[in-house]
Amino acid sequence: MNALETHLMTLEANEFLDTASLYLGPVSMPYNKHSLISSLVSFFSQPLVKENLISSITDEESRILSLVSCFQPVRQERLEALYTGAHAKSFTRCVRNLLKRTLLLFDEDHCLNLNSSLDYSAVLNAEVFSQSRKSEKRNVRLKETLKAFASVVNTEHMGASTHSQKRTVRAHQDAFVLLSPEETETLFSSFISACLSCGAMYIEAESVLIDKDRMLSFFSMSVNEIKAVLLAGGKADEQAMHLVALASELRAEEAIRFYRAVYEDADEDKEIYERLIKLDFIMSDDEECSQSDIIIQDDLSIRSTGTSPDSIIFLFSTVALVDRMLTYTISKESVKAAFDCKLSLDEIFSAIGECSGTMRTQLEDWRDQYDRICLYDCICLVTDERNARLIENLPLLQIHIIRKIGQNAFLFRKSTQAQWRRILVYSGFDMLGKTECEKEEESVEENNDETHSTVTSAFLLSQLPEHRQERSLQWKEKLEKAVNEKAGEENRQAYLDLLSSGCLLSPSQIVPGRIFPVARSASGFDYSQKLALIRQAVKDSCSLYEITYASGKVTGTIEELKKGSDDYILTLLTQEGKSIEFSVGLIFRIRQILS
Amino acid sequence: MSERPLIVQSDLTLLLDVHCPDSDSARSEISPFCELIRSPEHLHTFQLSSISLWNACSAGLDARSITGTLEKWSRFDIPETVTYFINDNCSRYGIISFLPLDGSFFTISFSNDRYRRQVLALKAVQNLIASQDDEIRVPMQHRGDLKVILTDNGFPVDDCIPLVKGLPLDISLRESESFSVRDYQKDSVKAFLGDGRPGLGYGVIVLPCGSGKTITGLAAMSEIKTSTLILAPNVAALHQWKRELLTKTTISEDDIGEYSADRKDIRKVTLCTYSMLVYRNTTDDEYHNFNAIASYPWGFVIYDEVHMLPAPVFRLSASLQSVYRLGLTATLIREDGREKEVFSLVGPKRYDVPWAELERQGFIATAYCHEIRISLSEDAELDYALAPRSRKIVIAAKNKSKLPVIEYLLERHQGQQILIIGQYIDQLEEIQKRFSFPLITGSMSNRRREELYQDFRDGRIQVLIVSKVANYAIDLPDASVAIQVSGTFGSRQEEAQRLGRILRPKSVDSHFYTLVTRHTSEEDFSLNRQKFLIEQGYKYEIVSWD
Repeated sequence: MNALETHLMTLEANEFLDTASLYLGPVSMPYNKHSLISSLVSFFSQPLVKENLISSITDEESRILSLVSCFQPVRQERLEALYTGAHAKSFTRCVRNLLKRTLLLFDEDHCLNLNSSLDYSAVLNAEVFSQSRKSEKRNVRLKETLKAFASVVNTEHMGASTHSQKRTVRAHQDAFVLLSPEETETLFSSFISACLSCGAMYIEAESVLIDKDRMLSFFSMSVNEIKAVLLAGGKADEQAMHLVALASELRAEEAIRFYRAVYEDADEDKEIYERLIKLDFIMSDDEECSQSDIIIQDDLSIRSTGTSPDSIIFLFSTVALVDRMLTYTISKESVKAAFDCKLSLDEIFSAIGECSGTMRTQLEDWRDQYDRICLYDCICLVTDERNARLIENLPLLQIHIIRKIGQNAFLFRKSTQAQWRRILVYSGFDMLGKTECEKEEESVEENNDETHSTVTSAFLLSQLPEHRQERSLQWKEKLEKAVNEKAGEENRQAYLDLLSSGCLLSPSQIVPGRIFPVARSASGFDYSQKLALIRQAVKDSCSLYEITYASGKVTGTIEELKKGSDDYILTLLTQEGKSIEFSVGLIFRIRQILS
Repeated sequence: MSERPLIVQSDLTLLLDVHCPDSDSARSEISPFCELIRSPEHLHTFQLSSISLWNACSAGLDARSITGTLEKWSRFDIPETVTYFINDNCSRYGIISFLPLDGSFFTISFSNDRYRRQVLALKAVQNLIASQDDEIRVPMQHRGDLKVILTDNGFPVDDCIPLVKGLPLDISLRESESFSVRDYQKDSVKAFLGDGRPGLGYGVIVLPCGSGKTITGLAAMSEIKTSTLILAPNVAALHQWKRELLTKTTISEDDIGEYSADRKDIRKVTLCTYSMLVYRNTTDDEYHNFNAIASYPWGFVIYDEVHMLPAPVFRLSASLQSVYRLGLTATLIREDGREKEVFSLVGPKRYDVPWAELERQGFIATAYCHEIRISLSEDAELDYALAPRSRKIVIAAKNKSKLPVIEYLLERHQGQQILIIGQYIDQLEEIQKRFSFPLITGSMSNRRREELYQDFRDGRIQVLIVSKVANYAIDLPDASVAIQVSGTFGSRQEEAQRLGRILRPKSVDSHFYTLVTRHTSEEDFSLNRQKFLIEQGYKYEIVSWD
């Protein structure tokens, strides 16, 4: 069953019959619902009908459709929450009308969706968000800035405390010219927190260290995914992705308002909103890293206009400046940190590319110095000469031995202790004792590598054009001509009302002699009839009323009827959102517009 | 890459891509308003600063022309912060002016009341002002101090007080086939003097070692033609100036005076050392020498090796603010960071040229730098490991394993003029004992020192061992090899000055060897020492001895 069929099936019986008779003509009883649905589907698949449907969309309707396009599938009441007061009534009326015209469809969960068989591209636009749009978009080179942060953490052996983090980032503040000092501190702190959460960084011996592979995995994400990870404090979940999409175009407070209005689980995590407000300055950044030539000089500086996602420059050098040009500096400390991260000299040379002999010699010399002493976190097995020979020759043991450090001493891997113990016991060392250690080993929880999520990117507001395209009114003129030619005098007005509400889509709907429900109306001179109609109209938020007076006419919903000093005053809210007051005693005709 | 050579960065640095075809044109257009701070092989770095912009304004540039130049050459958009910085700083220039009153006083003029209130509210300014009613009167001797205070507080001064001309001096250069002023020397003098209007005639010229800074000073003297005080770091330097004055100018020996420990002669051209100028018997004593010298009607002061200006001279020099003053140096770096005071008291940098550029043009010798890394001798390893940090560098520097390396290098460069330079006298004495070459230290008399320098120049001595007395300002034109066995911690200036001993143009290339004990703090210090030269485009070849 396609979406339109599903939608038609969800309609209440009365609504369904109204719809069927509106588009297919009078329905004879009893009726076959499936047959009518099939006829309606055929009707709406006509090219002329589709074209007229799109052409009939008003500005207000296009804003609502644009909202739905961003958040679909979405509950009507969620979107309603974005409209207040009189605008909320207008919203409800419009949605009802759009549903009747199948420009909006309900799905099985009774959520609103656009009709996927129609092409809305000419009518969708971002005007609905115009008040909330970010006036200024900033490019802070987010990915490059975060890589630069990582370089600082890597070189500085920063402590885990907040104080230590602040001290570290302040010492390098001059490198981050695209951010204010407060923004740098905020972003740095969020970055560290997120990396610790997802395992890209970890704490050892009270210092924050980098896990090279996870860090590279972190930077392989898109900019929006990274923003989501920062927002969510470590995981790029759907909620964070939606917020990122909204915040890329809207001010943080507006983005949060829209999000909470639209998404059902929105109220669960308030921390994410606080983070969004703090990190609003990075949300409009959309620059993905792009690699350019690297310039390496003998003063140990590395410069480039951009680095690739898999670039490791930040792992063996320290940032000097993040600007249009990135500048990093190689130092003994930064290279040592790279070796600590298990980066090899070959990997560094590969990243640098062509460099002078001097630099090459210097790096090799540092490696040589680094290798003078090797530290292993492992288990030392000491035995006698005879058993040492045995251990050396047991094939299954060899992968567990890191190295032999003496005639009768071996370094064994800590992580595979259980396995090699079994092998030793099996080989005859059944009195193998407990490992002597200073304190109990703590079990280390494996970090779930959830840096990545499989969430699809949320719809980006930037895909909506700024303004609606201008559309011709030819379709309306043609149908109006058809009404004048085919409809009888008794129901011409009714057809014209249907045309103005967008429900007249094809000349086939014009059936002479068709009976329409009687629309309420009151003439200009019948005061009591006018008053009674207006009182009813105030309660009817879904109908439009037309007021015709000497110099013109105006259409809208009747919002209020109040007693003035001399007369009753009615307030009409036009479709453009303007409020107009009329004294009931004035000469004007009022009639309900059929829709 | 794009063809435009300049990258303007938000931290006010400009990167010039020297491989772009237009880089030379761009360089000459941006040099008036920014300073070259490093020039390695691909990207040269220039710095915009308040002082560089104010100096540009004093030379007639404005924010519009400066921004226009940047836009002309910039590869990317100019960051807003840079544009704002330029506009803000340029707009400040000209608001405060120093105007002459009479010979003893000058006045401060403000074109902005707000600035006037801010400046006069400064306590340090109030202390220098003689009177302040409708007209602010300031004693002339406070001109320098006041300028420093105002500059430090962000108020640039348009100094419109004409420089005082001293006694007339009849001096011209004796150009011939063997001697003529080079283009860059002429350019530097032109940049220094300009068209003679107020705002010029004081400043620093930075030229590489061996490129003829003395000639530049003489050329400036021949333009200004007034009584000149020449200050230098040591007596050997003074004698070098005297030699140059007598051989390259028309001045007679009678017009040259020397104010030193041996003689107290003040004449129209007087040579004096910094230490002599500020000498006093006790800290409570007056600066008698300075008072005697300063009372003479000078028109021009030359500060040779101006980076060495000792602290007392800073204060005393303030009173020599009314005359033409020229600072000459190859390396305007001070590890104490006081180069800003040099700018304030002597004047801003007026001219600078990358060392590599002069090397390319053949005005200084092509020099090859080598760092030879030697393992610490076994008997010193434990001492090094146990020693406190300050002592470690000494143990590493005096590594006995350096001796065979010296022997090897002496053999390799046999027949060439070689200097062996070091920091520690006992180490140099050991080298002397081993190889029997003459050793020059600070304790040697000036006369004996001069004799040995002359013997070296004449080729009678081929190898000279020198302590740090020879770091600066000695003219040893034929030295083509320098072996640095130890240095002063991480002093970039010393490294550059020592290289400078072998940069005078000659028929053979020059080689600079620095012997470093590997895997010790000496290696770390060495990296810092080499920074300046690497930034000038020199490459160090690192060689492992073992």
